[in-house]
Amino acid sequence: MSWLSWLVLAIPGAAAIVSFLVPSRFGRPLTAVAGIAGAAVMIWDAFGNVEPRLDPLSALFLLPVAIVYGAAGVYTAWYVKAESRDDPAGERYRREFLVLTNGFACAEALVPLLSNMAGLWVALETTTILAALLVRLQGTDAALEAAWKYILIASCGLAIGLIGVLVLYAAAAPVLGAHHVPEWSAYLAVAQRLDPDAVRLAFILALIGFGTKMGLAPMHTWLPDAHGAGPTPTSAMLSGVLLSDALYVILRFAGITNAAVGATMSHRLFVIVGLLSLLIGAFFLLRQHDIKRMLAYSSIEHMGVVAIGLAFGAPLAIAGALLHVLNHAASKSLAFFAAGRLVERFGTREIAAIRGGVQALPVSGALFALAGLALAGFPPFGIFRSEIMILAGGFGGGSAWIAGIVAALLAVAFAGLVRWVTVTSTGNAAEPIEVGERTYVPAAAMLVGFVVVLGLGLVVPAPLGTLIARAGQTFERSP
Amino acid sequence: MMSHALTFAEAAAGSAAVALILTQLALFRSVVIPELITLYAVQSALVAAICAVVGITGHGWDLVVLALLTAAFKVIVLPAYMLRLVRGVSGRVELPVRVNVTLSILMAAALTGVAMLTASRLPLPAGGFSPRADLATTLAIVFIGFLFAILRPNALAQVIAFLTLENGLFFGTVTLAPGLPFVVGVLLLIDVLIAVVVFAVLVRILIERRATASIEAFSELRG
Amino acid sequence: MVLQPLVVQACQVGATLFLSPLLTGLIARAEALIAGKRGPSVFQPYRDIVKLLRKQRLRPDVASPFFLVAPYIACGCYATVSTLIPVLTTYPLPGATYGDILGGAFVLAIAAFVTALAAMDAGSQYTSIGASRATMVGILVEPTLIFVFFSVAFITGTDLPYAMNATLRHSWTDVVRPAHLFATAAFFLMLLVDTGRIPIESSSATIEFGMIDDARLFEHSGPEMGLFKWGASMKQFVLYTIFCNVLLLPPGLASTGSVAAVALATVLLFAKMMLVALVVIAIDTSFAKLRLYKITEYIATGLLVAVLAVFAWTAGLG
Repeated sequence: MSWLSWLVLAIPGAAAIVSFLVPSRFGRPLTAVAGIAGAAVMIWDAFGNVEPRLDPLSALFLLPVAIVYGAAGVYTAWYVKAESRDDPAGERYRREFLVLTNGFACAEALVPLLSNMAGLWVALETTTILAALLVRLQGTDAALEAAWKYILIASCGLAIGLIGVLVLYAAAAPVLGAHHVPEWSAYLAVAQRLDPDAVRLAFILALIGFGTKMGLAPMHTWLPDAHGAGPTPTSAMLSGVLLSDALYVILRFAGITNAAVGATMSHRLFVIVGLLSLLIGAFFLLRQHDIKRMLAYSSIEHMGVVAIGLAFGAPLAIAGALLHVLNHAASKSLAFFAAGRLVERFGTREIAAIRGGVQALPVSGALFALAGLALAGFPPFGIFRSEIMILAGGFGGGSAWIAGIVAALLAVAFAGLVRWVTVTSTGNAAEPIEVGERTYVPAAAMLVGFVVVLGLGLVVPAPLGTLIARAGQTFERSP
Repeated sequence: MMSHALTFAEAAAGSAAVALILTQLALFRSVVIPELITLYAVQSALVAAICAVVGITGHGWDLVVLALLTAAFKVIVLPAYMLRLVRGVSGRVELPVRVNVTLSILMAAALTGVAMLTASRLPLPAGGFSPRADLATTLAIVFIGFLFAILRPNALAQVIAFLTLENGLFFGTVTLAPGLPFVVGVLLLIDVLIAVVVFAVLVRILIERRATASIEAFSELRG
Repeated sequence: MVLQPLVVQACQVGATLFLSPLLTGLIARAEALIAGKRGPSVFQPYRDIVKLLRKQRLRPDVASPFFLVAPYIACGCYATVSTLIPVLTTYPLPGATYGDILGGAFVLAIAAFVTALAAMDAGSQYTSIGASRATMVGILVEPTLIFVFFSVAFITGTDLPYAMNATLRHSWTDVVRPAHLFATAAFFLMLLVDTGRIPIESSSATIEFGMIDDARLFEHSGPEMGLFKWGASMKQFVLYTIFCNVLLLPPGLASTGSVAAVALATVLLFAKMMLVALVVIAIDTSFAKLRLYKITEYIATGLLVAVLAVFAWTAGLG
């Protein structure tokens, strides 16, 4: 890893250590600064020319971390104070929150930087543990239940993923030697000489195992609880970054599999889990009455879309899927932040109880409405662009039936999201909800995501486009 | 009748594989938590022993160190800690049983059969010690662990299921991929440590709030 | 001096007949020593049997003459089985090949059948309960044993006990095959059932409501009771022999007919059986007796392990 990558890790890591040592009134602005600085360094690392350069896929998957950490750092600084009202008793809670958030960001940034398959597993397991500690932090019954389910299901999924790593290692041992280091690039180089059945089994296990962390159905059952019951910045970091981290690991496996046995198997499996996720996400979204659970199901749905885009195989669809990861990170973090603001103001997570969001919080409420529209796939936001790219790739590449089903399910999700967004945003805020933003710090955090998702909808900058194309080529290559 | 010369390590690995499957099946026999903890200690001892054997027969002394660490931690410290934790739960913790013992062992045996079938379908190269039996054991332990977590809806039982899962993974790592760096093995240990700490935190809170460790209490979040 | 094969065969049967109470005595003594007591003399079972043989014979009014004949048939069966299995020698003796291991299992089943019939014949409640429980247990144990024998037959390619022993002796790698280990484990579980140890039955105390094997003998007295006790020792001896010589520790048998070799083989056989007995005693002291309805769970577990043995073999795990 280059010194720049070490710096990427050092910033959130140092922030975590310092937050542990200093009182939270210093820790909070520190987190905000660390977030912004970290994001800047990550973007530099992704696009810059520092040797040794990052593999395109690693660079691309560093971007969601940048987007979300940058915003989440600022948001957490505000959230922690707003939550516990700055009283001395809450000091321990606030410090724990800051330490864990920064630590979590550090672990999340570690994942894309690694290409050692075993190291990836360790990094993901670390994120699981830190995330579980964060989810339960608020101490409610629901939080406890969510944290329990999360750590149990995620760890079991990771166990299956580790078996996949082991199978791949055993398959590669005759070729690379019994003591080889499981580097992705080494595996890719000898992919043709690996036993095809073992590689297939490894991929299936990896897809099931790491797909659990990604929220692919039918291993998604922990996601609505963890993303819904946890604190808002954690939900944003989980939905926006951790899901893409898990996808990164799956793509590393997919690259080896595609090189060894051709792309048919991975495509078929992606279609199955993708359609299932999209179906479950879209329909469950309609019946939600908790605002954050609704957003969680939206995440499941979007991960399904990404999987389907990867399944279509056409370069346009793959580019769309990778772009969708970025768009989703930006818009989902934006949506969670705005939802968190609404929840804090209205004192409840029930959608039915939140009315007149725009009136109560002019900036945040409006941003929530726009986030909902963005997630639903409205132009000119980025999600619209990436979904169109995926569908075009599907229709053009001969998977017209599946693309048609996808379009239909996206319409269902569209309807659900637009309905809930309209309900919460329009109308008059009932007494005694106070009106007015009072502080613009969280809104500033939200703007990051907003600008990104709007910008990516309007134009994809050339360096990003090249990066996406090259990243796609790292795994979508037939022998 | 196939027969080829087995090295001592291969024979030990095969025997340990069978013993591990039997201990995993034995999980279903007991309905009291301390027995389960003892069973886990026995299982960890087996895994540590096989790790030491693999290390001694040529794969490096770091594996022997790892075996000693594993033994110290998973056979002595961890079970003692968990027994103390269990004593905090009021009364004798008798596990709720969703499905009776015979049927659950039948299901577990069926899953073991599935694991064996899966492992046999792979023409795995001889990259480890009788890799097919070891892979079958790893898969079987994982499947049976899942089954146990499902059929015994109690927080402590699920922790033990998770720990046996880690045991199976450790065994698989040691026998299928003995060349994996020592670091990974240590990290697995640390992972278990941290996971157990987190579990302990959650379980303590659960017990405080609900005065029970039954997972039946966890049914708020649905849909 | 080299003994004729027929003489060695007679020695085998003789060992079963006359040395089995010694095994019982040794186990009882070891158990007491481990528990920190002095324990009875190792020859105590001999004294018990002789004492019973000299006592008066009683027969319930409702019982038929079969009641008196049954013990002789049972003992005869146990003695017969001992000609089939490799007790002392590695080479088959006269009469050893007229039955394979399944045949041996069937002959043991005849003994159990006869005992149960005699118990029912007695017309008493205790004996009838004992007979029904013993039969129920026996029904469940049979398939397990058959699976065990099948898996060993798969591995060794034969189901003649002498040939099994020969094959396993030549390649110890066959003994540590997963399939064979599963089969051995299953047989061990069934061994505990058939010899009436914890966790099935308490061997040290008589708990009338929980007894299975011993309950069948309640109405017998005098010589018949003595014969039944002797038969129980013989059955234990035979089962332990099968476990040691066919399954677990094949080496140690005499390969020639010389007196020295045969004597050494006897000593080694006892050594092996005491090793197994130590494990049995350890289980005895660590676990409690299972409740009656849980015995079926225990046996079902044994059956499943035996099924896993066959499965491991057919799945190619070796």
